[in-house]
Amino acid sequence: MRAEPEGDDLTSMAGKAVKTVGQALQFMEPGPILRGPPGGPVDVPVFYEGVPLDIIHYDPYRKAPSPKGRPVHYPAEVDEHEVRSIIGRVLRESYALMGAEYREPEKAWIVPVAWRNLIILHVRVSWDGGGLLPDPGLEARLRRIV
Amino acid sequence: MASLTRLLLWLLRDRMLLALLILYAILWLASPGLMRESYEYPDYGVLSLVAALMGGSLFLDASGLLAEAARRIVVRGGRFPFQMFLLAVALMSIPVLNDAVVFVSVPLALSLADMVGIERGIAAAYTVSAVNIGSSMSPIGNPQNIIITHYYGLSHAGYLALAVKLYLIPLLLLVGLSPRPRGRVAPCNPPPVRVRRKHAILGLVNVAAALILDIIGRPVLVLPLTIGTLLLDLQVAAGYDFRVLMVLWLAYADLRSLSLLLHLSPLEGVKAYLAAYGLSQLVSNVPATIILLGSSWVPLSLGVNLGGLPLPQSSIANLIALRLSGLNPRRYVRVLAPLSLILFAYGILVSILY
Repeated sequence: MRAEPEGDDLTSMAGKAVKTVGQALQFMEPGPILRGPPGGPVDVPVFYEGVPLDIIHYDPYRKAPSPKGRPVHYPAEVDEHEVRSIIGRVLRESYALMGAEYREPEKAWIVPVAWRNLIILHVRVSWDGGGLLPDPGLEARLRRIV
Repeated sequence: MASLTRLLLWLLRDRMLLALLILYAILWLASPGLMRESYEYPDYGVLSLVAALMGGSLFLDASGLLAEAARRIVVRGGRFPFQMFLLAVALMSIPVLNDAVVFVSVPLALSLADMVGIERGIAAAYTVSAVNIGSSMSPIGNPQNIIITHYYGLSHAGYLALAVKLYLIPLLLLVGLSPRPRGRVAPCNPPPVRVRRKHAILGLVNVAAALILDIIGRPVLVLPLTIGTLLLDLQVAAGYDFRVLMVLWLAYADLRSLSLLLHLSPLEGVKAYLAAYGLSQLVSNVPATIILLGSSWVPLSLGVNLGGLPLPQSSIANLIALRLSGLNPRRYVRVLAPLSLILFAYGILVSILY
């Protein structure tokens, strides 16, 4: 049984998780667009080293990412190449926020990533803060679409 | 009702499934007597093995194990990280189904391409080819090899021993022709992906059980294990694409009936190779294998495996790679044209010698 983080450990592990995400950001990649039913939101999965981490909501009206919790419904087709290139640029300009939330059921830290003043991504990091965790739900969604 | 419509639309979005369903209906109209026995044509051992390996591969992908293994090899890749990566990807495609390896390796190849200064499209095209060639060496690496080993009653060890000899030269050619990094590669060690142990163990147990039960000739017995594993994690199970199994069942039923209806005779040597290679470009390599079952197996294997490289539609793995990377299909063909031509000639030479 591994020890659960507690006390000062918690602060240092959260700090390590934030640092891990900061280092990983430059290697993150946008994947193929995920669209729901016609007129649905445009979501872009973010990959790190071949594993999907989370989705970024894309706002086709502003040609920019939309914050978490605000998917943008869009009735027309979007240019996939353009969207991927915009999100690729956004990822290079993003940064890990200096704080993490711990999710007990997943035994993982959740580190928010921001672009300008918007939180656009949540990255799961292992309980010790040392490694990034894939999102199995997103993996499944990708397989159904691709 | 709405979810039923969504399921139906999802099923019909698979063009190959739609085409095979239409062909199935046409064959029923043309020859009802023949089609009444169509349920006997599929090899249920092959279907069970593919179903189990798909489940195992799904869990291995979700665990992050494959991505982390590839990352470690790249970090130790020294002056040739991309070449090491291609070899690692080919090696991974021996025990894991090719489509699953493509899901992990193509996004990883794009990150690596930026790191070492290689064009991303070239990296994606070479990566999917490494998966295709690596999986050709294995009796369980891709559906066409599973079909061939079952139909001709080949042992896993026997197939592996010969296939390694057949496909080692293509793999070395691929690695040799792959682009070198521009300038000196700056050493970098990106943070690791933490492997989800539960998923990795479930994936490995499924693949190992499928392999053992297939070797002892009871592949159908693996199905309860696969179904049980999928029920353990419904989030991962949601990615299980059972359309692949429907396509495989229909491909057997349609194409074996068609072969009987048209009295297609088995082919030998170069003729078998050229037919397999050509058909792979028209209908993709798995249906091409089923149409040509009965022909000499070595040229057939060469034709469908090397024939899976040149065009996007030659293999499902290529289509997945294009979708994941956003690579233009024409660019894909152009990048791989020199390698495809050399390997096409290599296949002719080996088919003559055999």
